[in-house]
Amino acid sequence: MAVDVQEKEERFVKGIRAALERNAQALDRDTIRRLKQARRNALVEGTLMTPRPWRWMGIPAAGLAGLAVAVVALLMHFDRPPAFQATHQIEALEILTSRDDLDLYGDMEFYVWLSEDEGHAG
Amino acid sequence: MEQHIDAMDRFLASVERRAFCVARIATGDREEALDIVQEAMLNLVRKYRLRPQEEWRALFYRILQSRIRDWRRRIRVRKRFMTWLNLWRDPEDPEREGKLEASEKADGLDPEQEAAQGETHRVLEEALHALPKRQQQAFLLRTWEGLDTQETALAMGCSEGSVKTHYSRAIHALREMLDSRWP
Repeated sequence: MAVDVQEKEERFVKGIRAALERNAQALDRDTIRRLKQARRNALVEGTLMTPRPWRWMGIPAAGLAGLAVAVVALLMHFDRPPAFQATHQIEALEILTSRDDLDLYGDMEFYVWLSEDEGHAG
Repeated sequence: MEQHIDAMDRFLASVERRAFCVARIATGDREEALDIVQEAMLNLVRKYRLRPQEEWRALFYRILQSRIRDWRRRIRVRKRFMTWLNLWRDPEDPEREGKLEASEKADGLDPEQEAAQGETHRVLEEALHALPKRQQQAFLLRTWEGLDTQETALAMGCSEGSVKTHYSRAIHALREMLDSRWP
């Protein structure tokens, strides 16, 4: 008796499974096309949008860019060929011996700060 | 890496039709079902493509069920908002009840689909759609997708004991609903 009930239940479930499968195979062409498109989109977008490690570290992009510039500048400083160093010294000499008001150069820090401040206010 | 993508492509191709049917049974709407399947596929590829392949099936259906749940939440919120909006606009509006029913009726297939599928399919999908959601999930995952109890539990985010209970109740409910209408 219990076996009968179980068999009946199995037949019932099997019948539903078969009907669902027929339904899935009989989908209209437009739906099939859109499912294929969804699959392609998922494979392209899902593999492109891999998170970058520095995001996990919480370093903002601007900070990272600034750090990169500083590193490059540092490397350039240490790697400077002698000719470049000589040119730099001459420039400094010219500034010191020019007739320009040297106070202007003393105020340079102020002007740099002002431009930064205006940038933030804007 | 290419092999991995190929394997993922084959896997998604093997589940896309059923996933769509599951989502359509849950939502009663073709467009919503397509969106849900697209989101589930994208999520799986983005977050889990490097997991062992034998885990993909359960993971994919877990994501699918999660998207379906999100859809239901959005519908509930939308319904509440529409109810409030209709009450605020014109509580005496004689067509208000009709509008509410129209917005609530997200379970009808369009006439073209009904004709194509035939009476048997219509009856079956209506019965499945009418099942309590957890029973619907357990039944479809176990019966149609062939997930075992453990995989179904992972997909549903519940215990294996709960899966068995939901599955058993689903069969009982379907037999009562389908009864003489089922060949």
